[in-house]
This record gives sequence, structure tokens and C-alpha cells, in this order.
Amino acid sequence: MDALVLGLVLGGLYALLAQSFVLTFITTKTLNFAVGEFVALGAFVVLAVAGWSWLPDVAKVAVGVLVAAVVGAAAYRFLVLPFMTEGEHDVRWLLSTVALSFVMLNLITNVEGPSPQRSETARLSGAVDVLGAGVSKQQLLIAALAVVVTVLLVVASKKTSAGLVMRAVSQDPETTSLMGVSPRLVGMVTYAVAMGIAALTGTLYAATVGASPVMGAPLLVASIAVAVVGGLSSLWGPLLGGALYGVLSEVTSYEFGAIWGETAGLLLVIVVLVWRPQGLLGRRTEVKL
Amino acid sequence: MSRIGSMHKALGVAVASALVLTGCGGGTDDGGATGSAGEDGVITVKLGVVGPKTGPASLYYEYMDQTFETFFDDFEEKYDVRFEVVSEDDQASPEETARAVSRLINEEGVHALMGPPLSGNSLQVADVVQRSQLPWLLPGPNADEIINYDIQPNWAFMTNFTNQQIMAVLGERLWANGQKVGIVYSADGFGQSNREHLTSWAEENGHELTAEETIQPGASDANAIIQRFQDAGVDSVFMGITQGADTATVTRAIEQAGFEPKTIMTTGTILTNYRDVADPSQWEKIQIVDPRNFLEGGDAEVLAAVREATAEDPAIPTNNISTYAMLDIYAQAVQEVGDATDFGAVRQAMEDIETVHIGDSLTIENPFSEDDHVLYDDDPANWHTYGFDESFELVRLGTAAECLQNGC
Repeated sequence: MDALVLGLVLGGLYALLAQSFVLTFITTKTLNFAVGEFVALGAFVVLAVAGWSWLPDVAKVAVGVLVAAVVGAAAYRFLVLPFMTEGEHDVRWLLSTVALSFVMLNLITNVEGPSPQRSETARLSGAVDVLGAGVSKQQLLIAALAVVVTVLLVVASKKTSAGLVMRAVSQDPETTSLMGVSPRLVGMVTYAVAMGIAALTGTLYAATVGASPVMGAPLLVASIAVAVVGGLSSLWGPLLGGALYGVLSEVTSYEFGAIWGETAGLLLVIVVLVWRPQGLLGRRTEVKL
Repeated sequence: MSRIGSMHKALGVAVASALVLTGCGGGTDDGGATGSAGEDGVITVKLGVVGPKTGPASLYYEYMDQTFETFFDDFEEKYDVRFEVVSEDDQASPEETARAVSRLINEEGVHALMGPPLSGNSLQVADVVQRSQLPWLLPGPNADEIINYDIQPNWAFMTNFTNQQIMAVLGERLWANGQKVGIVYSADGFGQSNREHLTSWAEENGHELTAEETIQPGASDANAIIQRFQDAGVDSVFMGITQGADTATVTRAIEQAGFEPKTIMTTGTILTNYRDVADPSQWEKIQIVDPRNFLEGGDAEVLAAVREATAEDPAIPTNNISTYAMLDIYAQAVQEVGDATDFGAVRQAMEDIETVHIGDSLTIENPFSEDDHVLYDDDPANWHTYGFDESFELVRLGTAAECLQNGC
């Protein structure tokens, strides 16, 4: 039972970050490989404003999210959009986002240094008992936020005009542009929201492990795996993928040792890709990768 | 066409920026280091230094840099030996380490090589450096396997303790009163070496490890590791982990699970990065052993001087001290030989050194022999046991021997 509970909670962390990949993929059919650095960016921005005692913690987190959102929108405009103009098989954006990842990593390291820095903003100390398992309050908060963010995104995509536009651009950008909708703007907004979510993840995660330039890297593989398992074209996908990946890796770690946990999670990805390439909740679609 | 051109230009700028920012290329400050005495009677040595100048492990270069900055003038005054550093960034990667070492030896023609500081990378280049027949200065790594004494004369010298030594000091403590011992070790050369030497010590002394678990650098949790320890009945934990931040992940899981082992021991690596990501309740039971006295005497003087000169905390206190000791040994040897390019004579002088000075008030006599190139010994009476107070300041609890006998 402990492994089940802790796996679900851990899966929540991966699911929250996986939404960053799913959002950009649904709308622009691209993935930002610098997501890990946006995790760190959000954490360090919040650390920078941590001394503003007049600002409540929620607002400090919002500042981090907003900064990452602006940088994310700019990244799409200048480092993704120009590299996807040659048709569906143009994947130069892959290289440009990897380059962005290197640049951001080194910039953050040069400015902040390599060592983890303590972050007290939005930090919940201690653990609570959940069905007999000791669960960190911070991890529980992140998992709960993964559910809340997912529900909000689903509702927004189905019930708001912005969501309608997003889905329209996702399905046929050329036609929607003829109707006066700017796919470029929609892409920028989507990247802003996605990188804002990455920053939110980073801020809350930093309260546990400290803010460091490389803090996003260990989450990256698991989050991509979660997005793929759940389905890159489904907003519900990360929750299902996160739950399966988290529980499987945690149960495997309990039974066979920690070193096998991540391996089991990645094996799950391979099984899903063979059995259902679009992911468990994804729609079959032509993928440019 | 122009649009594609501008895209290529943008990508080029991004890649170029990345290359610049990652610090490709080495730092050379070759001001005519001939290795022999100049008109002023000072011998200028070209010291090749390899380590992770950039990236997440850059603390493992920074401690060398801090020690150079603090003490180079002192060594020049004391021994008439001036160091000119030629540095290469290994980015903590095995591939870059091999490239960096090759460049320093073959292209720069350094008179001695310091580093790499990480055990795994040192192990990888050990054969190459031994074949180059240059004094090899190793103030950082702990893995015994780096020095193969079958190779004689041997060119490598270590001024940190080794994993075999710490296990010899810690073993009895971990298994005291029939405790069941579990080790969690990082998935790198340092961690592997810790695990191998703890296992060897246990086998030689009639004990067995009850549980052993690996932690990946940057792991997001260690809950399963601790659960497995609890299930196995472990009540004595050794953490052989390279980064303090990963140690914090383990101690966080210990607290979260309500796990209360009787003994939790680790190494001086906890002094790096741990305090900033852990809470007092997580470190109150942790103890470390180390051959250095961080609180008084020569070791403490070195750390205080680094703080004063750099206005920073020592990046890795244990290694700041071991770098000082290594420079002292090498500078003495060069002074005695009078020519840093007479590598064989310098190596022999290092092996025969009578007194190593650490700070102003600590000396270690005759530390080396033909088949012992490690500065410290494994006598528990010469090691110190430390705990931590509420502010994570070190508290000396006694010698390792005293703690073994009386408990700490």
C-alpha cells in the first residue's frame, strides 16, 4: 500500500511537468526540450523575489510563473516558430530547443552557481499519514496541483473561446488562419502557459530539493515518459501516465531495488509505444518526430 | 532564402553561445614556466589542472581554485616555487576528462598533473597518466583503485583518505552490538568504491551487509530505499554519496518514513550542499569520521585562510585541506630537486618526503613509501568523529577510537 500511495504522489509531480509537453504538442506539434531549464528558471525567479516580504507566497510563485511564461512565449516566437516552416517533417525546432536548453543551463549556472539553494517560498514542512504511508506535505501539494491544473486545462479547452481556438489551430492551422485566427499567437500563448506550468512545478519542487540549475534534468525523462504513456494529444493523459509510471516505478523499487524503478517505468513506455503508439488516451495522429 | 539564412544564423548564434558558455578550451597562463630556477631564484612550475570548471559538479574544481588563490604566494615565499596553472575543463564527463588530460600532457607539456577530482574520471585516465611518467597529484578522489602499486615507480599521490581507510575506521562502529548494516551509495565511481570496500571489510571481518541500495544523482525521492531498509531490519546506515543534495534526499526519506536507525554515518561529502536542502531534524543523528580536525590546528587554519582570502566558504572543506597538503608536498619536492622537469627525481622526492605541513601548526611525518602513496592512515585513534549542531556546525565528539569504545 505504501508503494501505491507514494507512487501516485510521485506520479503527480511527473504529471504536472508532463502537461508542459502535452500542451505544446497539442497546439504546435512541437516539444520544448528546454523544459527542465524552465523548471529551474521559475525556481530561481521565485528565490530572487523571496525577500519581498510584502508579497504573499502565492504572488511570489505567480511572479516566477509569469517570467517563465514570457520567456516561453519568446522562445516559441524566436527559437521554435522559425524552425518549423518547411512542412511537417521540419524538425529543426528540436535542435533549437536543445540549444536553448544548453544556453539557459549555463546562464543560470553562471549567475546562480551550481549548488542547490534553499527555497522557503510555498514550502510545507513535514509529512502526513495517507493510508499508512508517510507522505511529504509538499509532494502531496504538487500532486493535488497536478489534478487541479489538469481539470482547469480541460475545462478551459472545452468551455472557453480560447480553448476552442486552441483546438481549432491544433486540428487545422491553415484554415483557422484564414478565419482570422493567428496560429502564431496561439502558439505563443500555449508556450507561455506550458512554461508557466513548468515554472510552477520548479517552484514547488525547489521547496523540497532546493533550487539548482540542474534540478529539472532528473524530472525530464520521467515527465516525457509520462506524457508518452498517457498520450501526447490528451490533456488527461499526464494524470493517467503519471499514476501508472509512478506506481510501477515505486512498486518495482520496493520489490527489486531503487535502481530498477526507473527502468521499469521506461519499459512501460516501450510497451505502450508498441501496443498503442498514440498513448493510452491519445488520438491517433500523424507525428512529425 | 533570406529567412532560412536568418534561421541558420540564429541557430548558429545559439550554438556558439552554448559553446562559449560551456567554457570550451582551456585556461592557459604560461608565463615562461621552465621548471628551473629563474634569475630571482624561484622555480616556476607549469601545473596542469583538470576538473569540472563548468556544470553542476563545478564545486569539485572550485576547491582547487580557492586553494591556489589563497596559498600560491605562501608557497612561493616558503619554498621558492611559483605555480603557473594550465587548466582544462573536464565537465565531469569521462570523455572530456580523457581529452583534457591528453591535451595537458601532450600539448601543454605540464610538469605535473593535478586532478581529475572525481574518482570515476581518475580511474579512467589512471593508465594514461602513469605511462606519461609525470607526478600525478590527487587531492580529491577517494577510490583506492586509482593507484595500482604493481606499477613501479608509481607516479600517483593521494592526500585525501581512501575508501578502504574509511571502511576500516567505520566498520566496527557500523556493526557494533550486532547491528544490521545497510549502505546507500551514489551511482558513480565514489559510491561504487564505497560499496566495494565496505563489502570487502565486512567479508574480511565476518560480517555481512544486510541491504545495499543505489541512488541516482538528482533522484527525486528515496522512499523505496528506506522502505527496503526498514523491511530488512537495518538499524545502522552508511551513506556513501557524492553530493550533499542527494544525501538530503535520503535523510528526508528517513524522516518521512519515521525510520529511526541507531547509527547513521557518512563521509565529509555531506559538508557540500547538504545544509541548504535539509532540516535540523534530518541531520541530528548523522555523524561523520574524517582524519582532519576541522575545528582546530592546521586543518582549521587552512579553512580559515581560504575564507579570508576568497570571502567564500571553502567549496569542499575536506578537499581544500587535501589540496593544500598536496601543494606542500610537491613544492617541497621541487625545491629539493631544483628542477621540476626532472620528473623522476621529483617523484622520488615526494615519495621520500619527511614532513608534510598543513597550515602553520600541523605536520605529518614520513607519510609515503614505495607501496603507500596515501597521506593518511586508518588508525581510528587518528580519526575524528563529528556530529552537527542545530545550525549544522560541526561538533567534535571524540576520536573514532573513543566513539567505538564509549559510544558517541
